[in-house]
Amino acid sequence: MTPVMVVDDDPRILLTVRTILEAEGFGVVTARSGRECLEALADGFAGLVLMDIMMPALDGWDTVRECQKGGYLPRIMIVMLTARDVPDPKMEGLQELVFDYITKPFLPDELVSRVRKYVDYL
Amino acid sequence: MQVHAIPAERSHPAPEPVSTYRVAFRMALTLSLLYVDDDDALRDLFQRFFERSGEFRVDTAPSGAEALVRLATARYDVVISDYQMPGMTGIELLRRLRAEQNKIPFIIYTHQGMADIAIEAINSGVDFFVLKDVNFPSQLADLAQKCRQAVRLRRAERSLAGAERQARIGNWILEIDSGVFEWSEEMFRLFDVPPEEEPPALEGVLERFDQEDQAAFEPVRAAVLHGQEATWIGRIRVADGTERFLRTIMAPRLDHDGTIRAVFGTTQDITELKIAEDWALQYADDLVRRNQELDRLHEELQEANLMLDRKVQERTREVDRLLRQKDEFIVQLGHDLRTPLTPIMGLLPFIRRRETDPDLAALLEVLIDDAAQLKGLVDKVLSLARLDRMAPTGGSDPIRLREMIDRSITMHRYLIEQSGVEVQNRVPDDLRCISDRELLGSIVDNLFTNALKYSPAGGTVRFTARPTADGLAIAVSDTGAGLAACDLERVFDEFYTVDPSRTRSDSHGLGLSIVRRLTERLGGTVRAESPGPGQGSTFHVTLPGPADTAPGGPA
Amino acid sequence: MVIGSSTGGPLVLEQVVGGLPRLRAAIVIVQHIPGHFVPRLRDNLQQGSAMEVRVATDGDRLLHGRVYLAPSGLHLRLGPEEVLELVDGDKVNYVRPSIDVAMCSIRAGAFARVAGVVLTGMGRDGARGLAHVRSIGGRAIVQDPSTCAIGSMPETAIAENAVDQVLTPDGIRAWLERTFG
Repeated sequence: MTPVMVVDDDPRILLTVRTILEAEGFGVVTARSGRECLEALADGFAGLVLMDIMMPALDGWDTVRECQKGGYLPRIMIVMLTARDVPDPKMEGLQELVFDYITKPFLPDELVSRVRKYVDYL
Repeated sequence: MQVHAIPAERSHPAPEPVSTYRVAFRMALTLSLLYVDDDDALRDLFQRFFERSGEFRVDTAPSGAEALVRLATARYDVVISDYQMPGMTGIELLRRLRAEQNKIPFIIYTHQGMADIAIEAINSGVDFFVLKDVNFPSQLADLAQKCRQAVRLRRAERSLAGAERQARIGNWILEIDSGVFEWSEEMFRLFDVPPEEEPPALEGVLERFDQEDQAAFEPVRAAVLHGQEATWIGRIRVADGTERFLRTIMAPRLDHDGTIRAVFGTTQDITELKIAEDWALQYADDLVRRNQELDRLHEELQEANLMLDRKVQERTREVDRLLRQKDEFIVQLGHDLRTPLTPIMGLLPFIRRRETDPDLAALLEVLIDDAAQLKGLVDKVLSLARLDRMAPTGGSDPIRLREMIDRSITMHRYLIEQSGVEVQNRVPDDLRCISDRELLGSIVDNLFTNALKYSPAGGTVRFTARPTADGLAIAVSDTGAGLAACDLERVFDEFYTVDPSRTRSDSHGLGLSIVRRLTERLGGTVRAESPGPGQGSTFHVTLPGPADTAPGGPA
Repeated sequence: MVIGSSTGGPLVLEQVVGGLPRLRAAIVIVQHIPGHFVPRLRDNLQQGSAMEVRVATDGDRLLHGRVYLAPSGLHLRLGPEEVLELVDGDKVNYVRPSIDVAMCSIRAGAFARVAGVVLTGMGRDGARGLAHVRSIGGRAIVQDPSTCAIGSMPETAIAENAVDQVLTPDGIRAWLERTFG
């Protein structure tokens, strides 16, 4: 099964996503910040990355840019996770680097069906 | 301006050649002549000869006394009088007349040619002194001529006097050695001196003037005595206490040997002129002051405007800042509200699925329900907060209403199944309108969910719509709880619920307030209609804007 | 017909274009995704479809019954004689390939029927393209923003009055089948 990394500064979100996806048989890795995410990528992580946008220090978009600089993009798929439901001007120019956008809160079934579709592409 | 004074000289009668007389002094009327002579025959002859010319009308008097009577009762242009007469001589008659201020042209016509009589006559103010000749008829022509001349002269004098009076100019001559004045009529008036009196001497006249003006006269006097023309303005005080401004223009009169023995001039009352001048200056001053005042006010106004501008800009910046703050707050709030919801909504179903105890499972169902309600509430509150910010809009999206409602039905599939309500979309397929897609969609959604909530299982929710004269009318009806008359208005208030005892937390009371705000935003209206509690209700929304059912849609 | 989409697009594309019967239309898809997913997208779209789905190459002729997927990194244009061109160039609306570039390259009168569809996505790519499509007599459709992962591309087009219809993904698919079937 394709590995999945969840990146979010809120441990409750990490708990929720991991619980839901592990129950479906996915291997889930958690990262508490953009920095931790990049470290994991540097260590060789490849797979689906669910990334929160609103994080302190390095926010979701900055992290995406760092992923691009680090050359990690070819082996991952990035899907943004966020509670924001208004257009985010910081996103301009990064559309081609991410695959999809999920708004919180979500129902577990929704998350699972979408994740299944995503890994289909990987 | 040089004023040429016509001196009222009585010392030398000035003979005017006939040829120089033009239109101005033509005799339009016959002259009325009084001939005074004690010689009857002569009187008779005189009358016949003078009247024969047609130019004269002649009355006669035998004596001075009689002549006076005549002169008192009728108007004559000229008097010709003998000298030697009983009772009163011709010269005495003349003197009487002159004493009465009667300036009538007077000719002495006498045998008595002695020089002293002639001189006396002249000094008494006679116009002509003619000696009777034996050759009477030849003298008549000369007499007639002299009559005419005398009358003309009088008329000229009267015209001048009239002009002087109108212009308030008097003319005068001053004999330097004696300091004695000869004054025209107007001079008496200018200086308030009765005309019977003699004009004061130079010093007397000067004393009437202001001290300053007297001082200013000295250089003028010197200039004139040097042969120059000069102008002098001075103030005198008159009887009623007011000031009178007099402007005098004078020039020396040179004798044949170049000595200056007399000065002649004109004096004009320029008080009115002065007043007008002063008034004009005052007015000009006023204007200048007012202009300065205006300038100052203008500056103040400009400053005030600048200040106002600055204040407005500050205020606008402030408002913008607050709005941005609010926006950021809303975004942050949205995030903060949704974040804790994520684990709740994400994990509860997860746990529920693994819970085998049916009681606990039921409890979890309740919690899951609550979580969904909470999410709905958060969405509604955030959209309501954003609504305040939205500019009023009519919207310009082409909308197929039936389609929009279908979409809403699709989205609420779950809710519909749960409630067991039948939904009918009776909106005509070809009904199109132009409006704001998002707002209208929200209106439809909120009315729909409201209808669903208050309809019992087996009930019906129906959508209808039709174009109106100036827009669109939409109706959403249900067969549910209905409304009492007093609630028809209040149902649109925020957080209003008809029955507060209901614990259904899904009726948080915001949906209809959103509907009202949105319809207002679109320039339309919404109202509720209901036969009564328990008998269902219908919500009518009217919106302005083009709408019709023609194929191809509104333009 | 040119369909453009951005973030969130692949899933919607599967709904709209996946498993289509053979249509009398040439569908060109401009999608903002990382390039290494394009082959997979092609596979998924081809699955169960009667249309022939391929990644576009320079010089491809536009034929009915085919779906052309723009590769990443180059702009796609419809050149003369119904031939696809892939051109380099600056990013337009911060993206390459740009939906505006593709749609605006459709010449008036070149095709019997023209349509432009803009699906979910961030930004404003596609608004100008739809306006152009409309101006040459074609149909301009956007995905209902409330069904989008991110609705700003459709919303921008709506705000700029460049839209004929707003449909859900199901609605768009139904329209496709109805119009070109």
